[in-house]
Amino acid sequence: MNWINFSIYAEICGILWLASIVILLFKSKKPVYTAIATGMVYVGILVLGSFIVNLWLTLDRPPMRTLGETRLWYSFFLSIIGIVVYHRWKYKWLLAYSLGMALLFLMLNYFNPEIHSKSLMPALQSPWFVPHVIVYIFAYALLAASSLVAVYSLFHEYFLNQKKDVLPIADNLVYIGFAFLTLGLLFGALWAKEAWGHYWTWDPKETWAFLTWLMYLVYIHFRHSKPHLTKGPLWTLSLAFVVLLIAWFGINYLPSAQFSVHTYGMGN
Amino acid sequence: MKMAGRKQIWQHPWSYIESYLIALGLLLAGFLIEFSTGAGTIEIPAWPGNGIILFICIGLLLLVHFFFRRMHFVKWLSSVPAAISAISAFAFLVMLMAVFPQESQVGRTTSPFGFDHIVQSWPYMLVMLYFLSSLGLVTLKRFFPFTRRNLGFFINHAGLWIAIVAGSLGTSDMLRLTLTLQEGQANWLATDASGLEHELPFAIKLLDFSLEEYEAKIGILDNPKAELFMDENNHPFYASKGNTGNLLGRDVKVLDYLPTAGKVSDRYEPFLGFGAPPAAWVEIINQKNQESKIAWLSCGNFMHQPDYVKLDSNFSLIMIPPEPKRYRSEVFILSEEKGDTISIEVNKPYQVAGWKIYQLSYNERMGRYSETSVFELVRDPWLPLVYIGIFMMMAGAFYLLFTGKRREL
Repeated sequence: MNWINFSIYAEICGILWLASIVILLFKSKKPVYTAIATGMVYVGILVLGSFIVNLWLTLDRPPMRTLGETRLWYSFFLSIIGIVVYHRWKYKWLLAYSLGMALLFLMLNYFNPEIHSKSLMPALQSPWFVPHVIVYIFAYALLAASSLVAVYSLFHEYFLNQKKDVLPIADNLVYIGFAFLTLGLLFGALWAKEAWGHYWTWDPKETWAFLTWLMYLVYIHFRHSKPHLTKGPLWTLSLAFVVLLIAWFGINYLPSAQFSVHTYGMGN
Repeated sequence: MKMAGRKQIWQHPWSYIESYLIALGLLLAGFLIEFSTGAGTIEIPAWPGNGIILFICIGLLLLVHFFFRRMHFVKWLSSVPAAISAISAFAFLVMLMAVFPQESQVGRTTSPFGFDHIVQSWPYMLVMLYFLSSLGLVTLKRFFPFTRRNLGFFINHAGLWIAIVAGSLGTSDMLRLTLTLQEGQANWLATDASGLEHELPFAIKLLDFSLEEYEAKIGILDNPKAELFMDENNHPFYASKGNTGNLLGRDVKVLDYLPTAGKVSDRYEPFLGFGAPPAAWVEIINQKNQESKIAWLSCGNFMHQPDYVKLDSNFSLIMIPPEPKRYRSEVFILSEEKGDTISIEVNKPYQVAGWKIYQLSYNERMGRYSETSVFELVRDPWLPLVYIGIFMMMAGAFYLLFTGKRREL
């Protein structure tokens, strides 16, 4: 089987990334350590990348068909986007987070090798699947972080009577997160055109995602127009995150969701 | 006491209060018109009507921008407060859409305020007009004169304007038709949602429909309810040869799996004929008393009865019909220019003469033995314009990704 050598690749890659996460989270003060950590990320990416190339050549088709193969791409691109965003913005936690997510998908394949051939409905078998989900994973992580920062600051303001000037950090997180959110929405639109015949159908998930997008749009514009006000933007960020959570998890429980193309596996 | 120098409401320059009052007024007016005109849907005119609307809109925006931009009203309309109030009103309507199921059937609505057809309602039209005027004006403001610093701003704002305008105006020119063909049959007439037939500029002949399935799964049937029983400890599992699972305190081992099988007295043999269902040979061991039983399971299909094992009065061990993995149609397409044999499958539509042909469905009762294929045909002449908008926004998103929040002067 093509997958048999996977465990060796996965172990090397997994150990490298795990060590990198530990360094990033606990030992990241000295530049030497961060250099080692990022170096290990790169080696891990190379190892995983060579496995994918190998698999591609053995299968003689792009390995994008099964859920297991899809997870490989998740791991691969999560680590790549993580390191690229790290080089641009130096958020160590985000690199650690994306490596953690990458590791999660890698481990799912490692411990559940039989899942490699699990069923994936035909509409999901598309080259758009991976980029669509990955950019959303990043958008949610960054926007969640911005809301955490906002809640932290509100807490300090209301309960400890301290002002924390966190908005510049929140702004940056929102800008980058919003960019990923936009890409997720647009990748979804391009994919929908190929799979369902139309790029926008006001599917409940689309509608909620778009609503989330509009909330952050309000935040960005308000910050631009009134840079010195703090409470309004902080509350907007907290509220926007609630909408984001509904778009992500809550959607399946809403009356409008029964017609959604995004509620997979609810039937059987 | 008002502070000295603080402006009265409705005194220019207008800011947040005025903007939000205007947005609220538009929403209220919209719902009122919707209510009094009796829950009809607003149809955007088809070509050339929508083209004329686009032309007039762009003309008006340019006119206002170049000749009236010093007016207080115009300055306000392209200001951030106006933008935020318009986005908020838009978001409010999107929220209604997110909560209330939307009726897509044309002209058949029940909600007097238009809650079930928001995008075709008066409040939506008015808010869109407000939103797009504001967005359009601010885009022009940053475009003339154009500087490199404004590039990111421009592609994001113009991209959104183009995508929304082209997408909205284009709806009435979009045709979505379905065409059902039997193997060997050809047709050039397809029907729309209301049952009206449309002539296509090409003919399609279905040569062959084929469907691949995943392996069937083994699960538990709740007999009284006649539905699949599933909880955290009882998950259906694949009936692959050698696979084992645990269902309702029984260890189930798959001794053999036949993707297509024929029944010979009380057992199954591999069989490749039309209508042959899958079957699995399983060993069932009751964990309580170690009683063991060997049996054949089959999900049956449109031609054959299923075979299952009754576990007790309420539950049976069954084979669940396999899920489709991929399905595709070999078709011959004859247009004025040429004839081509191609294959169409889900996620891989085929483009010909301004149409996209999608694999939509098949005879689901017959599954892999279906000789019927259902296609969807979509013509959307405004798509290129929408894509220009989408690609501008994508470029804009990458721009944001690398610049982040820029410190303003």
